[in-house]
Amino acid sequence: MMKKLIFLFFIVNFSYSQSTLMLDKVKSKINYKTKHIFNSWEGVNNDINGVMVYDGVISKIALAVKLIDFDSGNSNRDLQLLESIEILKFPYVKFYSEEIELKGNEITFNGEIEFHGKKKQIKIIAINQTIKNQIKIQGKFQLLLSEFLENIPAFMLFEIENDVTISFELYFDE
Amino acid sequence: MRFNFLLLLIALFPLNGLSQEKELFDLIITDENATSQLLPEKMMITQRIFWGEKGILRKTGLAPLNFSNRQKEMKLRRSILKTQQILEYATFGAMIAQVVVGDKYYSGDDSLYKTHKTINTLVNASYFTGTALSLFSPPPIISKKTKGFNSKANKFLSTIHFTAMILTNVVDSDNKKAHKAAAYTAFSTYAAAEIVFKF
Repeated sequence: MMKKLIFLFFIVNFSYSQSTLMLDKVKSKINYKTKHIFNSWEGVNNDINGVMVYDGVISKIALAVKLIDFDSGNSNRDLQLLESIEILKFPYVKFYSEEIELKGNEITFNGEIEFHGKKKQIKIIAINQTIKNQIKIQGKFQLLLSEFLENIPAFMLFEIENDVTISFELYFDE
Repeated sequence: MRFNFLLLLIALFPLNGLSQEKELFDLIITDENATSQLLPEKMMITQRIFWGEKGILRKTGLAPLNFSNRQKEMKLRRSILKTQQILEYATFGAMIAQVVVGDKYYSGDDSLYKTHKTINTLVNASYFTGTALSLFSPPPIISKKTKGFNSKANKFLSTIHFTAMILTNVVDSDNKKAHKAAAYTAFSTYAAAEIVFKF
């Protein structure tokens, strides 16, 4: 009997009883903001891939963003940035979390970011809202480029700031 | 037996988490590549001659077109860009010196003739080397449509200062007025291009 119960427990765990909610690519976006000695700018990506596992609460989330889709409004700058972060080798920046806490409308993701072939644990605090059959998650966090890149991208021989602010607005269809 | 069975199930437990992570990413990532093609759709004619699909370097087998070589070309492109930027600073500095010296020389100070000629050589060397590096470097990853005022302005100004630099050398001894006009045009458009710059 005990054996059957244990077996059942693991089978249930293996099976998908939760639902997967896909990201609304039209509404969702991710921005990065960076500074340089000569100026500062913001790049936006409106083509994010994401999914969350939801069973009344968000239990898992996976996001994949293609770096080539970031647009700062200056094609020359974007190209230089893409080439310096070796996008042929590492085309995506990914985020995954399955340690998710919800307190009121504040949601905390303890997860892992993968960028330029390196993975780092990260804690992201965001705001969670339900708007018209969609779950909206909005927030921002800081990223240190030196934790992922051997060489910080440079323009006119001056490097950009190590600290990059990433802000996001994600919509998942219920 | 029961213990072994339990051990097996416990061992499989973390694999479940990993497989779920992988499955979620498999669901959302349909294309593992940064771009669908190794070469951009559009590139300069000078780049196409050497680095295009049927370019000289491809046909001779010196740089066959494949993923690994394109990564190496990107690395080379970054080194060329760095060198180009150093040359741009050097050119700009030399141009400023040339404006000062040239102005004094054409105002009647003939003792500055040799200095003027030397700086002229330096400006030409750094400017045209930088231009050559730009024209013959490996093509970028993708061809992004020239976007943003700065990019467009830089492109427009580049055309003017390149033409003016050639004219400055062509009308050197024949027509001092034209030479001065071309030189000032080259300097002012080059300075403007540096200010609006590539970003």
